[in-house]
Amino acid sequence: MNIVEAFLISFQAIWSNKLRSILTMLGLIIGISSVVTIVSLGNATQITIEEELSSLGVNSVYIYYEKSAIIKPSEKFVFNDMSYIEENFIESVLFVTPNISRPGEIISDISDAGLIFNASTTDTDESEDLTLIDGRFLNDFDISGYKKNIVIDSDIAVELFDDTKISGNKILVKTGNVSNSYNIVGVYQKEETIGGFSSAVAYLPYTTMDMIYKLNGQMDGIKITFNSTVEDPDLEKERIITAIERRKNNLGEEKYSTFSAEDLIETVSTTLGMITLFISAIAAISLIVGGIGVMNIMLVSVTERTREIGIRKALGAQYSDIMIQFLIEAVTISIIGGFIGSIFGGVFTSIGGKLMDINAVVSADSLILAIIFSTSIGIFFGIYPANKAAKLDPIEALRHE
Amino acid sequence: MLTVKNLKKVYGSGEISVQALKGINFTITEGEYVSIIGPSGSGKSTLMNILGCLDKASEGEYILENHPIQTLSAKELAVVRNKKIGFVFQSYNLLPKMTAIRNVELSMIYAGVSREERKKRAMDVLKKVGLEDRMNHKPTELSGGQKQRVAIARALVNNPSIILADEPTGNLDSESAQGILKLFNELNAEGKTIIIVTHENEIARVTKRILNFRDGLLVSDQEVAK
Ligand SMILES: Nc1ncnc2c1ncn2[C@@H]1O[C@H](COP(=O)(O)OP(=O)(O)O)[C@@H](O)[C@H]1O
Ligand SMILES: [Mg+2]
Repeated sequence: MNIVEAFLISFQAIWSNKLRSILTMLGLIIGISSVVTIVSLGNATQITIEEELSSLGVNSVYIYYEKSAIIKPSEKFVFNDMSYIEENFIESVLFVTPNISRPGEIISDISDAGLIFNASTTDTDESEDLTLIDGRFLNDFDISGYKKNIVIDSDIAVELFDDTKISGNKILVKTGNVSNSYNIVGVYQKEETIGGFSSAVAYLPYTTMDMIYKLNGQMDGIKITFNSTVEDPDLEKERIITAIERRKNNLGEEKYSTFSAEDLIETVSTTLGMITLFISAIAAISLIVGGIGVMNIMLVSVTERTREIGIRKALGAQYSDIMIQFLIEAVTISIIGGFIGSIFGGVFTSIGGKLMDINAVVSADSLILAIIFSTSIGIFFGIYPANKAAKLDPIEALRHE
Repeated sequence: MLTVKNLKKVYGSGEISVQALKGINFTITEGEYVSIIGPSGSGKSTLMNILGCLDKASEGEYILENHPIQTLSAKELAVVRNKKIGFVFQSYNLLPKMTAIRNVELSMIYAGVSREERKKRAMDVLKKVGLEDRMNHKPTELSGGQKQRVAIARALVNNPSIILADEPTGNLDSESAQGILKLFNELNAEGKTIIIVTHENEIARVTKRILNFRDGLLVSDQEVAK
């Protein structure tokens, strides 16, 4: 008996028990669709996060104080360090910008808003990849003159003024108990972020920040943006740390640590990968349950069709003929289930993608995997019932009622 | 072409065992038309199942066309059932979800006959049994006599050496039964070897040789006087 013949027989058997076959497939449909959905959404989230993180600049590195280290005042980062690094690593370093963020409030005539103030140089717009949509960014005069000038994001602008073209307006900036009037010199486009939530950030000259927050010329950290021609940012980073340590007289004491977007991407990817794997494993359990359903229905089918098996054997069917017939029936049920499950998986993926606001498509890999998986389930859980059918004694089977 | 020697069959074991055949000997040559008669429980079906390679004898020899059947493997027995034997059951044993022609094709599927060839041969043999206008009917849409004709067509289609029929008219009214018997007569006239089990003497008298069974033993073996 050839395979085509066996498929025809199995389609007939499945078709004549439509409801039962569909109910049996249900387990597999649920299992396959959830695995496909989870894997696809997991991959899409990972890609989206990686893209978002690389927009932070893979080419940049933050230098911080090592958490556990005791930092003497002479070991703190100071504003001078920025020009020191820029001058000594002129080949590799594009910008050095301060890393200082402080909470504050903006008050306008209409409304007020809590937000984060970032200390900026004239390069911060570029190192943070900001897109100005109105006015200008902070300039050298703002820095050297301790100007009370501010650049805010488009969302805050709309919140406070119902408009983004608002440079030139004045607002009240409240830090602690002190309020001062500031000029809005520019507005930048607020970027969409994953999950849609991120705090508002406004940029002030670092000199002004130093004054109002009494920073004593010290910084929380330094952000270094490398030239895109730098081949090994890691090596360059080490060289800069060494130079800073020399400057602070604590060479080799490891009081500074670094952090780059690359590190973050790696951490996030690994974590997400593990979460996806874990949820997939749980979904895979439903596949096993689905497989057991297939086995159960095949056992029922073998019992019900014992007489048919007897007739086929009486007419000359071999062990292998009956084995193939029932195995193919199990595989056909599983593949149809896997196919329907994949379709649902695709639908759930696109719905999930819309809800999560990420670009999620079902990958060919996960579809191929789903088909291979369901075929294997069909074979694995079909072998026992098929063997049971195939080794029936012809006369015993014929006597069966 | 067919010889049984000291054939015995015991069902079960120990105290509840039943000795259905107690040592049977006979030979049937090609082209014979034989009926097996005897009261219910005399071992007729048991013998037929062994002759049909559906069951194995407990003891003794069964030689079909020089093949010692009792030594064959399950796989080889399937081939013998497929190619050498056409079995007709009292209860037809058609697959209920398949049309007449599909039922007839079944034995050819296991013989590896191609699709077109199967269709052609099935149609020919259905025509031969007088069912050319019932080929696409399912068993539920056929009368008892018609069902048995489909079963006979199925038994014939691989051109077996021998036709074995276990009470083929047992479930039929006398008119249909007559039709089936006429069909067997024609087949034998064309040279087919046929063995029919029956417990009706009228049917047995139609054949050419009667084997009379009683209590697991062959008690008489006689030619029918014409
Ligand atoms: N599968 C079986 N298990 C046990 N005993 C059986 C079985 N089949 C038949 N028998 C017994 O064997 C004897 C012969 O039965 P059978 O060959 O069917 O007789 P017949 O066909 O002549 O009516 C009977 O006593 C019957 O009860
Ligand atoms: Mg009987």
